Amino acid sequence: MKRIIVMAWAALLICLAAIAPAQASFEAIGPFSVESRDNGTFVLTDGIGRRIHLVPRGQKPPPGVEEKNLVRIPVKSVATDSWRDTSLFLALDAIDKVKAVTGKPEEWIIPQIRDGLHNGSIVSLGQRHGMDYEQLVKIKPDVFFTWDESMIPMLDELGIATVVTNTDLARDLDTQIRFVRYLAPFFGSFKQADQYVAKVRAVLEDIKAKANGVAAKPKVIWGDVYSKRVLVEPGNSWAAQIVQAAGGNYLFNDVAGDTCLEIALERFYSSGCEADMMITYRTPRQGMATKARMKATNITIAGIKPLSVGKVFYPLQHYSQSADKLDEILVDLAAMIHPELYPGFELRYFVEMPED
Amino acid sequence: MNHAHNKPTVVRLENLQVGYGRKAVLREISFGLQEGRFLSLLGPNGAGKTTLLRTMARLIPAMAGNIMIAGRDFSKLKQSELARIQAVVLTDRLKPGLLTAYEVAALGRHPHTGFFGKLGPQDHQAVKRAIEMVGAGDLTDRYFEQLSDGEKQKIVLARALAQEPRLILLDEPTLHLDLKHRLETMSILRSMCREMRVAVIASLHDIDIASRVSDQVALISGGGLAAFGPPERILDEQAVARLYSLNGARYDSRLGVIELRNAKRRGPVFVLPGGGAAASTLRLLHKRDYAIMCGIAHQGDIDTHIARALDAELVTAPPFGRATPEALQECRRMMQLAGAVIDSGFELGQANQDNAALLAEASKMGKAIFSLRAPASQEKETGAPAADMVHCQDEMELASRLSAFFHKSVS
Amino acid sequence: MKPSEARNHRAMAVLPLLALTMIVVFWLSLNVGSVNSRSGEVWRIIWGAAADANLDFIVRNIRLPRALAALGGGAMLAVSGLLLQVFFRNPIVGPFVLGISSGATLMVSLVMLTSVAVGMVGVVPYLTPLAAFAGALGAMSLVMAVASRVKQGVTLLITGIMIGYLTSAVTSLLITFAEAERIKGFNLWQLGSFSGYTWTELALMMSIGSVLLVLVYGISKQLNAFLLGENYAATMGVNIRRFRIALVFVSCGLSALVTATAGPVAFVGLAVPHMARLAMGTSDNKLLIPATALIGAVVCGACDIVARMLFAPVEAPLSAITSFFGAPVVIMLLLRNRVKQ
Repeated sequence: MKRIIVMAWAALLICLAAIAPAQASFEAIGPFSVESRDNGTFVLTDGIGRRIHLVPRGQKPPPGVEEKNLVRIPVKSVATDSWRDTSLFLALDAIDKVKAVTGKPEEWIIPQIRDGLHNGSIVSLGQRHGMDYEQLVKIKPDVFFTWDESMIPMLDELGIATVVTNTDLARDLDTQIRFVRYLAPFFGSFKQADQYVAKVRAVLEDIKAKANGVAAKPKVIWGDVYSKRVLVEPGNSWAAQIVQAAGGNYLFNDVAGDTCLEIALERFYSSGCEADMMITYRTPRQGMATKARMKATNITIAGIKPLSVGKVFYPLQHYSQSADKLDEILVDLAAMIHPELYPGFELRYFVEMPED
Repeated sequence: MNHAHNKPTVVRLENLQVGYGRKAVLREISFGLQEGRFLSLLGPNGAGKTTLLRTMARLIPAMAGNIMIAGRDFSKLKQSELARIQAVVLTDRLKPGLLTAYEVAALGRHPHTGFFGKLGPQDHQAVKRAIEMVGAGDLTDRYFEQLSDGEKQKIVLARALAQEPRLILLDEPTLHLDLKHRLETMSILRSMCREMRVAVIASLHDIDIASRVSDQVALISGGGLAAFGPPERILDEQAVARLYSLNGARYDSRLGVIELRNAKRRGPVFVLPGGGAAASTLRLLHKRDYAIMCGIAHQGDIDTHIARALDAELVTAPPFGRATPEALQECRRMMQLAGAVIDSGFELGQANQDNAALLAEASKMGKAIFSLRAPASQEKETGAPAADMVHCQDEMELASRLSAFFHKSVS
Repeated sequence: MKPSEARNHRAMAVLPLLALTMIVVFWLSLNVGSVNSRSGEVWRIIWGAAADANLDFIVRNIRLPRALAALGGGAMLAVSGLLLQVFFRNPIVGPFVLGISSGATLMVSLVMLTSVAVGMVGVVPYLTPLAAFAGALGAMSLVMAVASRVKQGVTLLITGIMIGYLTSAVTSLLITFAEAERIKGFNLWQLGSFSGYTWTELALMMSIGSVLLVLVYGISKQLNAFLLGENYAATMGVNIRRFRIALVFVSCGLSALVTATAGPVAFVGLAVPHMARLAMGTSDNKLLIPATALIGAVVCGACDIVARMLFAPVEAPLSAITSFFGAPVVIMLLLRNRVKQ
């Protein structure tokens, strides 16, 4: 339902953009959108369809805009609970604007954040599900980036402008690549954003070109094995799209959804019996260290090919905080699918799961 | 062991102490009941009747003392053994869902059936007998929850009976029932005693009914057993007044009724009774708050009992006898005091000559006389001239004329 | 004709019909799935004739255990619910009212959300079902300990609900401090499903379950006495304490077995006893128990088919299907009942 509303908004905005004066521009990034107006302000639609006004400091905000939907740009202080957003701030040269994050220092891979938390220049807001709102009020950041929309009422109350960047809704590859442009107006880092997009697109074109020459298409499944149950990445996810772009054959293309979905075990089994490789988010940190362990967790599907003769890959811990290196991640995936095209390549974000 | 004419004792309470937790409600309760006998537990609300019954039903433990049931120690009986001796009817509202009346009654067979509770031919017979006994043969096929309160109570009794007990305990079996079903219930219980030789112990709030059906009554008040014995011996005016701390009511043991006290705000009136003719007049005047004086009433006459229960000033004569001169003198004094004299329309016989004479005297004294006698026969029957009297068709007319009369005389 | 005979006639008609429906559901359950199969092939596979190896594995090791688990689990949950509804004389009580699923959830959350059991994942076989069973048994023994002490059934009910709240509190605390990646799997477990049963689990659930179902029949006489309430049951010779312990043991045992292997499956245990009463037109538990078991099996089996076919190959959450189907049924039946009275 929410998705439909968001899409309806997006459609409406696209129509509006089409009839808007030429000076203004509009870019839809999945369900997100950025509309730049000629007076230097921006109107953003966030992940749950809220309209956020970005107004340059010193300029009068447009009438009727509530304080909670107003962000003064360029922002000087940012708080966030999103690993992905934080890593994109690196790409935007804005990592120094981050003043508060959730999570313990040891959970952070990005050195600036980890060091900041250690030396106190960045404030810890506590746990993801148990935010320390008092700390947040004390810092009073210009804007709070979150993936958790349930916090909105509380943050509105505290008068902190919030942007929902739930990446569940930015699932296709192109949206993933361009998402950086959604964050750029906050910092005025348009140049960096354009560079990022151009770089990733160039890499993607390169991957496609390489894969084009190869006839064989390795069959790939991407999913998580739990006791009795399995979750898979749907065919409309960026994961599935990069598999296709890298010359692989993604076997769950007929599955569609916003997030990882549970599919029938028999389907997972029958596709698994064809697949050459499997990518999973389950890692040794959750006890899924070896193929043997995965088989024991769900005996029924122990016979699938990736668990016997094929390969299983899982992401390393810094993977989820490396959105700024999307180009490198894409190359990693391409090299996993067609290792013969990348001789001597060493994976940087993924690792192959050992037998036992 | 027992003599042929001496019925065996079904249950005996020995110094029983009952209560909840450590709080004793009743102490030192001792009595026995023979088979086929009906015992009523009487007492004000909260006196502990229900507590005693629940203890006897083993729903709460006895605090001290002992119960012997069918010659066996209650505390050593297994729950299922006890259930074969004793059935219990509680005030709990039954909601058995989709069970028919027959099935509810058949649940009473529980202590007699085997491991899976399958009903054999004997069980069905017992259930049918019980249902016939309570006169509910036409209800068997209907769902219990669709029955009226009175019909439900019959089935509840049938269930207890189907248990084929020697003793049935009932907590307020007539609660929530209308008069018809109240009487029906009591008559069923009565026949259980008489025909099935079952001993019945029931807590009742209706002293009137209790005195009629009980073989024994137990008066429970003041944290113990205040009295125990046949109602004829136990239920006198003082005992009942003590039991219920009656302040605005009187109990008549012969009539077995409780009458409210009135405030005597009007009158006084002098009533000439006889042979029950004044019964409803007395009740009506009492209800309308008149102070009543009552002239020669014969002992044993219903009018006498009613007048006494209604707290009227009363002059009596021996049964079918003439009044003493002192009594007649007392009546004259009362007539002097009375604002009006009422002729109840008593039958004239040898014994009632005194009242006829008194009426004639009243007429001579110039008293206002209200009569329920037909004007035509007035003079012939009583010798008092009909012209001086107010003749009324019935008690209601009498009351309204009397009211108008006193209203006028006051103003 | 005596009313009890009329009742038995109805039972003789309804019970075989239900059994037949159950067989149909079972056959459908073997035939539908996200992998295509023709019924002829499925038939041959059942009888051991080799066909496509892939399909052979799917039918024998995925569909067959799943179908049996859904039917058996549904029957067990429904009977468990029936027992507790009669015992507490409360139509909205279900098998999880005594905290069984909460206990199971607590242990599963410990295993899945914390790093306590990281070393055991994939090493200890059946880690999640074992944890769930341990949690369910823990809650059950707590409730049983209470059951042997309290005087009134309602105290037990409240205790069960409180145990549920307590364990839920701990679980939500664990969720607060858990990594997002771990919560995914835990959420999955919380939704409940008959997917992925192994033959070992199935055999265990079915064998203990059928012993318990036989025990249920053993307390059906006392259960009928309970239709008149706890007090009347006592005066009719039921040893309340012993009966209460037996009932809690059996009903919690049944729901614990299902919860351990399938996760919490909502509403079957609550709605099905009502449907059974309607179908049989009686509250006589001797007839209700088999009817409840059969309807539970049919409902759960059918809901399981819907869950896997609705968005195939995506699995719809089973509890959502059962609730979607069960809640209106309960509302309707309770309204009917209200009107009737």
